Amino acid sequence: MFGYWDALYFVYVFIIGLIIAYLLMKWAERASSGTRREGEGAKIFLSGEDQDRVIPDFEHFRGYFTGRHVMWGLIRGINRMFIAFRREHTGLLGDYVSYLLITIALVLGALIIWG
Amino acid sequence: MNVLPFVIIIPLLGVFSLPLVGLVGKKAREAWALLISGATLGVTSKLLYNVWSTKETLVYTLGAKSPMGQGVGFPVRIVWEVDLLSAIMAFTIAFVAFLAVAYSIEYMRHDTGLEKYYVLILVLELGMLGIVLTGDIFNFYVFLEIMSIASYALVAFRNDTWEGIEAGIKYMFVGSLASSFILLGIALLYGQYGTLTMAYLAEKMAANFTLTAKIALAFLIGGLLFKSGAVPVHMWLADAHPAAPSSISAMLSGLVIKAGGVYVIARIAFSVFGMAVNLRTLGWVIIFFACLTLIVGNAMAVVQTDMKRLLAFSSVGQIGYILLGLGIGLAAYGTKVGEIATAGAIYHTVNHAIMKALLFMVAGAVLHELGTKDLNELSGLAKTMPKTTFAFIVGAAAIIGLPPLNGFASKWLLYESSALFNPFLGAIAIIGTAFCTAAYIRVLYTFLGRPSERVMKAKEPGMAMLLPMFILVGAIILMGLFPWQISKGVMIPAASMLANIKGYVLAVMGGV
Amino acid sequence: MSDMGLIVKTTARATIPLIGIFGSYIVAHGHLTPGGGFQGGATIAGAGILFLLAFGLNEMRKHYNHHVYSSLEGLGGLAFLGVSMLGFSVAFFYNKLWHSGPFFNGKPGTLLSAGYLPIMNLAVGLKVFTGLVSAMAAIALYRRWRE
Repeated sequence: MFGYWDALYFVYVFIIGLIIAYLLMKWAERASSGTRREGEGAKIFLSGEDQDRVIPDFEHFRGYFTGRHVMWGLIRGINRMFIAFRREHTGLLGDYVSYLLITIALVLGALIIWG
Repeated sequence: MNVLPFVIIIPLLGVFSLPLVGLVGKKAREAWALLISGATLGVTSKLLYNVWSTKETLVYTLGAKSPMGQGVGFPVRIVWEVDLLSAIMAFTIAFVAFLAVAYSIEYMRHDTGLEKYYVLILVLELGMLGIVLTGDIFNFYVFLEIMSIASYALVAFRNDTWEGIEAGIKYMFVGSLASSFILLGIALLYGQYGTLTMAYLAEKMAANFTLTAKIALAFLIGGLLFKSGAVPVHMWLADAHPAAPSSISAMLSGLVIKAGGVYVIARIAFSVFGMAVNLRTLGWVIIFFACLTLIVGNAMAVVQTDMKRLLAFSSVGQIGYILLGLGIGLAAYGTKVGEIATAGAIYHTVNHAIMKALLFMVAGAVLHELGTKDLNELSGLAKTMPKTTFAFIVGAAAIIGLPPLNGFASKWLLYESSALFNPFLGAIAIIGTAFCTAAYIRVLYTFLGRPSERVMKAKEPGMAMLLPMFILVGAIILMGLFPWQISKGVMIPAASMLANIKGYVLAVMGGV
Repeated sequence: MSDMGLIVKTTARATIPLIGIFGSYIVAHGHLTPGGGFQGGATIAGAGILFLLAFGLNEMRKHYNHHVYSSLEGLGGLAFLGVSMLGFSVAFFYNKLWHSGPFFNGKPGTLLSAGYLPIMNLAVGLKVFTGLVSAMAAIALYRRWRE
């Protein structure tokens, strides 16, 4: 293709990333305590909630990978952003309309000033 | 033989004759819907081949031989104008719609009111095909309304659940408001320039670009951003797409937001306003909304527990990529970077239509067999529905952009051009993909985890549902094998034809 | 839905034919005067809706057949499409009847002029009439609240 990037570099970066991720995993597995790969209540060490802990109202999910377990770390890490985003999704018709008007106003302003 | 009018005539015939055919019986109705959408697919593939091999803009005048009025030097009639982008869109629409009809034969078997369902699905297809073919701005509005009203009705089709009705009502109210803004923009343009033909409008606008035209453009862009589901006007999408039946979700997410939104933004920005407006400003406006869309859409997908809602938010995120490519194509108009970005946007439009249709069909298969789309209850689906899970893995890998699949090539073009245009935009695009990956890995973990009791009772869906899914899987893999050939052979010419504004105008005006 | 009493029913009996005739007039003169297929069809459908309101759903059920109305609606659309295909050798929607006959090619301003437009108006009128009546009947039939 064109430019200074090439698809091959992507593959290199991908392979290096895989190696780094594998090393990280090995290190984390050794450093963390109580990782269990198999058996009842397998516990993942980086992402995932403690399988032994009983979550109220979710007792029947114990030991299964449920939707809330995976990506726990990411979601907790930037929780504030997600809270802000979720708060905006109110589902109220008035909000939808006001956002539409805001969008049109923004486009209108930009086009009139610099168009 | 000119195949262009048949693209509209065949679905129109299907829509009008479906109630009559339906009198014969249920099977006849399904076969007729399948036949009509299959014939449309055949005609659009011929159209795509014709336009692709000649690389010329096709013009078809309704009601006369030439679009020019008698004794005057400007076009007065409705024209249909097809360049390579339109033909690609038309083919994608017909392909996905055909598979959606085939899928719904089994998926909708237990529903009632199916004669309305098949009529509406064909009306939806007809509206989208009309939008991508037309070269007349009011004709475009008519087709947009045909498409929108059919999709309002289809979102609320499952009217035994309040979810569908609520989403349909909200979509209808706000969608009508957005349509009104689009109509207002068209009316302002008509009042200012006295014509509705896009090509002639472009010519008059290049000579005399007024404030009214700027306001009209803002109304059009605002309304169309709504229709394409850009942030912050994406919220109807996250309500409406999960509530519709899955075959309809596949069409809404895969096609409607592109034909009725992104395609029209591209057409209006390039072909109508391209010679008049400051393209750099317009490009940056679209890039601004595209960046918001990328981040918010993909990030919201991470925290969903409803599978179809997750897919709908992911659609919002992917629309962000398409808008980003389009915006860069406008802001860097005339350069190599701009051309690559536009080509990437067109390529991603096609790819995303295929991938998202597949993913929604998988969600529909899960919903059909298990009766739930809550990810917390779907743990370990791979044990009992391996074929469906395989289809999902292919679709998810493609949408993330893993190299051997089709999503890689288009996303690569977009990353590359955005990094060359402005490294900051490239970084935003990568962050969006990181969120996208997180969202899909979450679903995959759930599918591949330990089976829960509810899942153990599931079984694979029937052949009529698996076959469309595997045709889409095949298309993803096949397109993934020849990424640069498709990019060089089809997408770059489409981008350069879109960027050739004078060519679009002269095709109608005939060198006057 | 029950009927609305003697006075309304008697008035409706008198007015329904008149509304129908007026609507037919609008449809038939669509190419000459303001209005056309849609407006005339909606007016005729007004007669049907008046019937539904005045005489009630039970009476309507005797005179309304869903399959017939749905088929007629499809026929209206097909007629529209067929007429627009007449001049297909030149272009889709080419007004062949007006340019080369054999009928509806009289002097502009007379009833038998304007080529395919009168036929299209009739087709659209049929479609709108059957469609609106079906919609009203469906609203009356499938409502979820109680009497």
